Amino acid sequence: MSNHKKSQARNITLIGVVAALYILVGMIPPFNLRGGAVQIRPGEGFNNLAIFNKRYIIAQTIGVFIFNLFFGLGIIDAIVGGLQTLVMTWVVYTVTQKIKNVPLKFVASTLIVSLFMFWIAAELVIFFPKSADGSFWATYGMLFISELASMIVGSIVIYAVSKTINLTK
Amino acid sequence: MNVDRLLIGRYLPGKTLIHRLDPRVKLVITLAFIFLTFFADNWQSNLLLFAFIFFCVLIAKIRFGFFLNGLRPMLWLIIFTVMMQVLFLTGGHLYWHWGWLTISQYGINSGIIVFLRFVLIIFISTLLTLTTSPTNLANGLSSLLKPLKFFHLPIDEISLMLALSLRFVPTLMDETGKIMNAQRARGVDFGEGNIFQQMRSLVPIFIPQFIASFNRADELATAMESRGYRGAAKRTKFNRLKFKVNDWIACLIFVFLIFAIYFLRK
Repeated sequence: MSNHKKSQARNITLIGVVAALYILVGMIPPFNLRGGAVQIRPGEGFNNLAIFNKRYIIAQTIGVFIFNLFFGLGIIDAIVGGLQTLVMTWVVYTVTQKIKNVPLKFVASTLIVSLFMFWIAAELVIFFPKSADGSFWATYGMLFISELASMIVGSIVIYAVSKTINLTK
Repeated sequence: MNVDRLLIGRYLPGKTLIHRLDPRVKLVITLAFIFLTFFADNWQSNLLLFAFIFFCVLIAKIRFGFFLNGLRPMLWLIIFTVMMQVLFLTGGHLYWHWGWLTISQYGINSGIIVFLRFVLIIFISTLLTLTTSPTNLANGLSSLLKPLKFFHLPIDEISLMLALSLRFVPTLMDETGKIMNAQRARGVDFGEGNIFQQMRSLVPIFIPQFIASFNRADELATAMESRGYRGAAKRTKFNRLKFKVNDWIACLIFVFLIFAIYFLRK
């Protein structure tokens, strides 16, 4: 069995497993922490996986697509959220390839993902004005803070995981 | 944590009419139904959508308790969303007002509609995964996405990834339950203390879960390779998807439902 074929099958199974993990983490209550008014979702830390290997771009996109379709605001949310994740994680991967320091990669990833919340803010204001408070900037501000907190927590957890498992290979 | 409550991705084998429907039909109907819920803005159209779900559940011979159990994990999210609608939306008769918070006729109506939408989406999504095996789901997706091959997209692989991720959710859920119980036995308190203590309690779950998941992926990759998996290289299918009379009837019924919802709109 050639290494290429083996890695192709492994990439497919790893993408499936990581996407399932993202869905799972989003669904289980203990994984969603509360710190005052801000709800923190460590599952967002999965966006950091794009730092290690581009296969996780697809994994995260599939995870978000399925989660938003079944547990989000439906098909619109699945498509918009999926596209946002695809573009965002690709940007994370591209930018962090140029950074050698791993903790610095996490910082860059956290900032990129948090800033990318403009996409979701726009989606809420355009498609779901009832769930946003009408103002784009207010919605974006709330999403940015929530995502920043989620990404910081998620980064710490994923960093701890990366110390145990080689996520690059 | 009762892992059986989360039903997405769990398949219940059966030989009913719904089970036997072409997966492409079920996928298209599910997606179109989810889309339809956004157009159901009054009690008549919501009643019609619930009647459709109830009719499908009866045919599929699945206990309704399954669907109610499937709702439980999402209850807090639903309540939170509904409360946001009720407390922050204004319009119509004003019942209560305090600072930013208001309870108005429009807010209550909107809250009810959002609640019903959540329930309908969860029910139809659960019905799809309870009555369609992951293999069929992958085949259906693969077939529906075929036109994208024109853009050189690896559709077969993407479909397989989607099916695998759906299939892995219940497996990993069971695994998480075991890991959490093992950590509780070692004295880890989940959801206790401040945000940093809560965060620290997550690490003992995440690391074993990732290790177990990656091992599972490796085992599955080896199993796939040993069974001759070669990506999308001129693959043939043992079970070919073919439209039958039942599939056309299901499509026809759903088209009637679309028209009915359209005419019932405010």
